[in-house]
Amino acid sequence: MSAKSAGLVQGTLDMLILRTLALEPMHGYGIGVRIEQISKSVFRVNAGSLIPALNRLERAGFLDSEWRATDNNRRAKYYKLTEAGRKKLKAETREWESQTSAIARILNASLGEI
Amino acid sequence: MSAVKPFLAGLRSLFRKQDVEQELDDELQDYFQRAVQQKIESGVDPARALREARIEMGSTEATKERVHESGWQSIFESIAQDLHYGLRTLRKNPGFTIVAVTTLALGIAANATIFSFVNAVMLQPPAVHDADSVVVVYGTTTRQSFSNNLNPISSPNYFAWKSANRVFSEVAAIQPWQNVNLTGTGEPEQLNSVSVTANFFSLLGVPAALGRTFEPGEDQKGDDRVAVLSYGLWTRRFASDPNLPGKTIGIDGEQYTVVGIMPKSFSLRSFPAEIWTPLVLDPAQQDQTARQKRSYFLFGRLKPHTTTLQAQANFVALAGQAAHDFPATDGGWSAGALTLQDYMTKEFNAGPAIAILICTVAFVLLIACANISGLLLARATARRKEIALRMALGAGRARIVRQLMLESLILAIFGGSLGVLLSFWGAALFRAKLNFNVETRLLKIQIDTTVLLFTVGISVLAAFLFGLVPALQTTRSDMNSTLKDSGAAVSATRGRNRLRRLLVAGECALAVFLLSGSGIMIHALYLSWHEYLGFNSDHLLTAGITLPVKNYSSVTMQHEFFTNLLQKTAELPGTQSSALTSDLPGTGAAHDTFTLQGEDLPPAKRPRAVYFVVSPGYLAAAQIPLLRGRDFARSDNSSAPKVAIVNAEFARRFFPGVDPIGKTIRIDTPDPERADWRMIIGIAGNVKNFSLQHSDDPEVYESYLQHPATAMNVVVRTAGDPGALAPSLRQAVYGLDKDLPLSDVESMTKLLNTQETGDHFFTAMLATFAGLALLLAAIGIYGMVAYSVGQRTREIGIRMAMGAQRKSILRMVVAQGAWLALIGGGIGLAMSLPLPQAFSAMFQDFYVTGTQVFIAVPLVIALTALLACYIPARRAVKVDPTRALRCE
Repeated sequence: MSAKSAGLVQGTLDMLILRTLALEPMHGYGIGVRIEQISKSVFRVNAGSLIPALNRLERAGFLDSEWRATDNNRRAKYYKLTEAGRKKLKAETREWESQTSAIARILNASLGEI
Repeated sequence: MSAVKPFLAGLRSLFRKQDVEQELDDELQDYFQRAVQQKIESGVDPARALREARIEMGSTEATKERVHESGWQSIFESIAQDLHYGLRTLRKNPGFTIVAVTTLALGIAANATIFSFVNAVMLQPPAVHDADSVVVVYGTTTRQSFSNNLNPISSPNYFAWKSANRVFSEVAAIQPWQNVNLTGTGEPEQLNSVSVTANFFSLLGVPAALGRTFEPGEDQKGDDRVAVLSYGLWTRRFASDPNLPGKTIGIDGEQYTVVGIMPKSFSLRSFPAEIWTPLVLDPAQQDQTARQKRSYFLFGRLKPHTTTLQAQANFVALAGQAAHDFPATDGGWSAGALTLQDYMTKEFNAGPAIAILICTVAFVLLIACANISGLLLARATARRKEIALRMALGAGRARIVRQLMLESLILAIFGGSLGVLLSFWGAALFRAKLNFNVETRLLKIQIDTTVLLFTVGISVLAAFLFGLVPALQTTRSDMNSTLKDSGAAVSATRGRNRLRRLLVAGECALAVFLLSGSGIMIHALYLSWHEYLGFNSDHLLTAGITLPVKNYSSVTMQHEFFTNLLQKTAELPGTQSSALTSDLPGTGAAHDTFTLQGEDLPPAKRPRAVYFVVSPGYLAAAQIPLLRGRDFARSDNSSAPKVAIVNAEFARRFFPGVDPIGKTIRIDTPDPERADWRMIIGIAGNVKNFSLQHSDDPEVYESYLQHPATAMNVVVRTAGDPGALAPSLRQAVYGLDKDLPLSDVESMTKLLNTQETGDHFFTAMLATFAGLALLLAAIGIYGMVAYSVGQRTREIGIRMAMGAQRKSILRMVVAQGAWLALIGGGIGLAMSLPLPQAFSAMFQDFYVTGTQVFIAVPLVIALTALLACYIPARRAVKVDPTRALRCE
């Protein structure tokens, strides 16, 4: 991950990839661009972390891949969410939400409460 | 799914490396091009776009490496790498590798060989169907027992228990250890035979290899003239005649039809048989007399979901019932049940010897491991720079430890393989040496799968034992100081020194313990061989003879035969004297309870004595001294008053301070009609009943003229070589009855030797292993002292340059080694002190003392250790100080 996203919580990248692919199958570069766009350039993901992450997720059975033809006679490796991946995303999201809301509660607590 | 996919992906990476690499390259290339294209599209100048994209991408090689590392196959690959590296390291140090592998191979070979024996005695299941559910029921007695308390039971109990037990689906009875005479074809021959009920073979689930086994009803009177032969007898005596089933053979002069031949693999060690005949038992004749005749063992097939423990409880209860109902005959008796395999293990009675052998070889292996540990430690010092460098370059400690352990494992694999090869030879030696009786001949000592698995197990264990501590120790060193250090260290690091000292002391302790243990055993065995047996075994020819009751039905006929035989043997040229005895001295004898006149104890409480039926003149022929009174005379016959002779131990125990001559006793023979009161007429010297026995048993002699017996041994005292008289003895018997074979025609000396072969072999093995342990320990101590002296060459150089005398340096080095040997030896000696007591408890009737051994062994170890220290120390002080100072 680039310098900007150095603070990204470990394992969050996996969740972001799964979320991005939940919409439609996509190739590696597309995933990176999509994450950058949606996060309004807060997260910038480069090939050095994205490709190994995709590979790892595919091996774990959360993603499937196939080579597809794209525009101007090129081919790209498209990744697609599997059923296991969908479940994983659901679980991760739930976990993430409960954690963030807990952190938010702590941060928003008044002095007296702490 | 979640486990299969990564596995398949890993396999693909391993075996289709090219494809996987290509795909990853394509993906990264595509990514890069898209990034460039994106930048151009957003208006960046192409050359700049290319550069920016490249910077953003980072190193593609690093990315590929990260992808690669995430799979399991990368661990596999790095292990393959380590393996390659380890093999190369070992090949580059041939001296170290050869010493380590040989040491380990010797240790493992010793263990594998002993285990192949243990496997044959205790682990191989008997060749019957579903061996775990075949149970043997035997009798036990609370009376003084001379053996391992596995006794036969009586036939009334067989019938009662057969129907009353709740644990067996089927019950068979056998009468083992019978001798029959094979007659008719060729020279008569005595065979081991077992009589069995008709369902015996079907209960075991073993079909005949040829023909059939017994059919129901063939154990009834009139239908019982059938026999099943062992494979060995069939090939040896009948030339493997395929048409033998259906033909008749002569057994004790009667015609039996051979119905089948058993498979070659079928043998029951505890109940050896070359021929099986039906056991005929009449349910109508199970009276009081039959209750006293204990000759049978019960075989049972456990019902499903029933355990041996339940069977044991059931038969203890049944025996308790019998003791309650028939106190005169069954009082003091109980029963036991063991699986056939456990029964045979217990009956083999080698438990203590096996335990000692296992401990001995385990200690040999421990010493071997300590040696290799020491070598590895020494080598680790030499390799410390290499290792520090690798750690500096980023290798984790775990990775280095794994690498070092892998090297140990390689050593263990080579050592183990060589050890297995050696153990094939060891097992062959065992087979050759352990063929002295029918039971040991049936042991299947071989290197089978179980032994191989065991060897693999101990090899891996050994690798951890000798490899782990040096590996951890090596990687603990501080990398900075090691790298800076130009090899100018004056002495090795403290931790490593401490470990080395621990190893030296530990080896001394182990060696003292092992040598003491085997020394005590060997000493005790040696003493017992030279124990006076109470008779003169030189120039004594012996032979067994069993009169078939069918041909010699009356007592008169039996007396006539034996009297004629004695007359004929007395006339043989070279005979000095000859006599008969029911049991030979020193080879195990029968024993029975008896009653002293004036005492009336219930059978369970009566004392026991070893008991012989002999001919007049036996004491003189065997040269057993007659201490007081007189020997039997021919006039002490069936019409004269009954007389007996007792031994000195009998007199000491039962007539303390009283003259036993003239007193009367009654022996409880199995046949109650022959139990007569007998007057003691003489006192004979004590005779040992086992050649390794230290204590004396009470013994009673009766004359065959007053106590009929059909199975006797002839003893002939010869002027010359007893073996030379054997043919004429055979001829004499042939002249009396041509269908009567002589068994075990052997000189007494040879008989005793054969009997002791097992013990001699046991002793030889202990001595071999003890010698091996001493050698290994010496090599180990020498190696470690030599190494540490080598490390201190510079220090010694400094000391000498400062003016230290060679002598004082020599003394310093030797003293340091000797001090360690002293501490280790002391610990070993303390560990060994309880050994004599432990051995006495393990081997009854055996005289064990440790005093001489406890003096000799520490001396031997101390001398060995001093020598092992002195040689390297002397070499060290001979070095020129100027060279020593420059030494790195």
